[in-house]
Amino acid sequence: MKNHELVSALVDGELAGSELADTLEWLAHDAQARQIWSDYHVLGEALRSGEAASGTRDRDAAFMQRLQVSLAQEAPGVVVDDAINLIAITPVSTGLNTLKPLKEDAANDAMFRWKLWAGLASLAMVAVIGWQVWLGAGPPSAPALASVEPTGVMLRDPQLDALLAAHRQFAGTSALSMSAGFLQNTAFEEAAR
Amino acid sequence: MSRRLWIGGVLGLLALLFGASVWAQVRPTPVNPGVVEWLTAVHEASRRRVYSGTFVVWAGGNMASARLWHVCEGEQQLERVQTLTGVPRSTFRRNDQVVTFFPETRLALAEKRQSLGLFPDFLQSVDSSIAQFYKVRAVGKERVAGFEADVVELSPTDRWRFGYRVWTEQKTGLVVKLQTLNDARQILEQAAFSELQLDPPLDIRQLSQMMDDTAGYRVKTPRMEKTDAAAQGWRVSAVVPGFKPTHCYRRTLEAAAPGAVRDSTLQCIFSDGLASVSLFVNVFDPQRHAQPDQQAMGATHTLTQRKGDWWLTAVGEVPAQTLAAFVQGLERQK
Repeated sequence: MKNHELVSALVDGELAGSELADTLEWLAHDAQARQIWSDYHVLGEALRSGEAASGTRDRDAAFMQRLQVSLAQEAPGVVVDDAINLIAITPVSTGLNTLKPLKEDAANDAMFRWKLWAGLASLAMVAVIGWQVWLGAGPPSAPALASVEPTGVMLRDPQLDALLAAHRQFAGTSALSMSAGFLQNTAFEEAAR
Repeated sequence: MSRRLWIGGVLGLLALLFGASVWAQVRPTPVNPGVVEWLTAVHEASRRRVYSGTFVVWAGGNMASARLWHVCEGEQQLERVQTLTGVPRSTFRRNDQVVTFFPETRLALAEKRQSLGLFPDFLQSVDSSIAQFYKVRAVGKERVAGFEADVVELSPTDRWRFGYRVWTEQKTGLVVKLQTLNDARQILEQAAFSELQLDPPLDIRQLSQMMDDTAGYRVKTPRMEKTDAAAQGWRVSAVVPGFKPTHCYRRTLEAAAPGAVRDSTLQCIFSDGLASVSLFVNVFDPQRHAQPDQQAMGATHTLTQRKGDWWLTAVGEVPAQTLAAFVQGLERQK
């Protein structure tokens, strides 16, 4: 059925321009279309979380209504606009595996703002893991040598920290650059010395 | 040194180093004659330029960034580093004199960092040992902070130290990016300019005035007494290859926590020209000194251990086994 194909294409971010606009218009006004959309997202959630996502069309609609009401009450500045007015001209990927950075708001997310809230926690974890992975570089088997201190720059033992700072005073013997060596050590010194 | 001479010099050095590394594979005891000259040239380049920019450091899962200004006039060098993350802090360096301002606590720490001035002489005194422990090879070109840079890899010849990848800006030789690598060539730590301005209009007098303006700040000068291990009753019996003792100080570190005991610490520093290790010796105190421990943050490793009536702490940008060897090699003289 053509409508299913359109929704599927929308979910995969393959629609653009007027086709995208028409599909979203249709979704906004046709209950059956929303059911198809909902089905695709239930499928997506199930694939991602490995659990069967529950919810009927009616519950979703009622939830959306309650959410819109409470949003309007909590944040008077927030305008829940018609999706069609927020469409980007170029396709925005709404694929199931897309990870969006916190700051970016895909144009058609306004219609599904609740998804952002659910995604916040997982995005934060991705950011943390992302740093670790990036620092590990090389092969995916973790950098076994560098055991990461979870509390950050300040080690748990303040006395050890004082010794670290004392070491860094002299660690600038690095030949490579006065600035680089000095900076590398300065950037991590702590005030409590 | 004129720019063209310098570019020619560096290109020549890189060509020599590339050739030398191939040649070295044939010889049974590889010696790389170009390393010392290359390091000296790079070191000098950063001393003689005026530049400013934003620097970012990644180590042990953490990131810190700072703004940097560097001016030089004749033999005088002035540098200012202002942290952009964590505790606000502004550090000024005039040659080997350093003043750190902490605006939140209105504290200014004034200290001397001798090591920064001594480097070129140190290289000469260490003679060819640095070339014995690191091999240099050019690995390509990359763009960093909008500037074209040559990439050079410094590989350790043994497992007692880490390797480095160095990006130097092509026209000036300024180090714009630096990575510390472990023996699996994974990045332990890296630092790079995210943006850089060469020859900005900076006034050395203005920076100097800012450094001397300690009005409204409590100025503290941590006391350090220069000494040597033998005078303190210690000797290094087994030396880790390549590392030479540089300084030894008896000092009283600032109380890390309110009410904490402040005792005198002996700090002995060793260096192989690129990495350095500090051995701290305290009188053993069962209340403060708990379990022997090893920790790491980025390339910096620490090791604490009891040795008779003493508590030893080893800190350095070296693998854990190197710290263990240092602690093993430090002996109390009878």
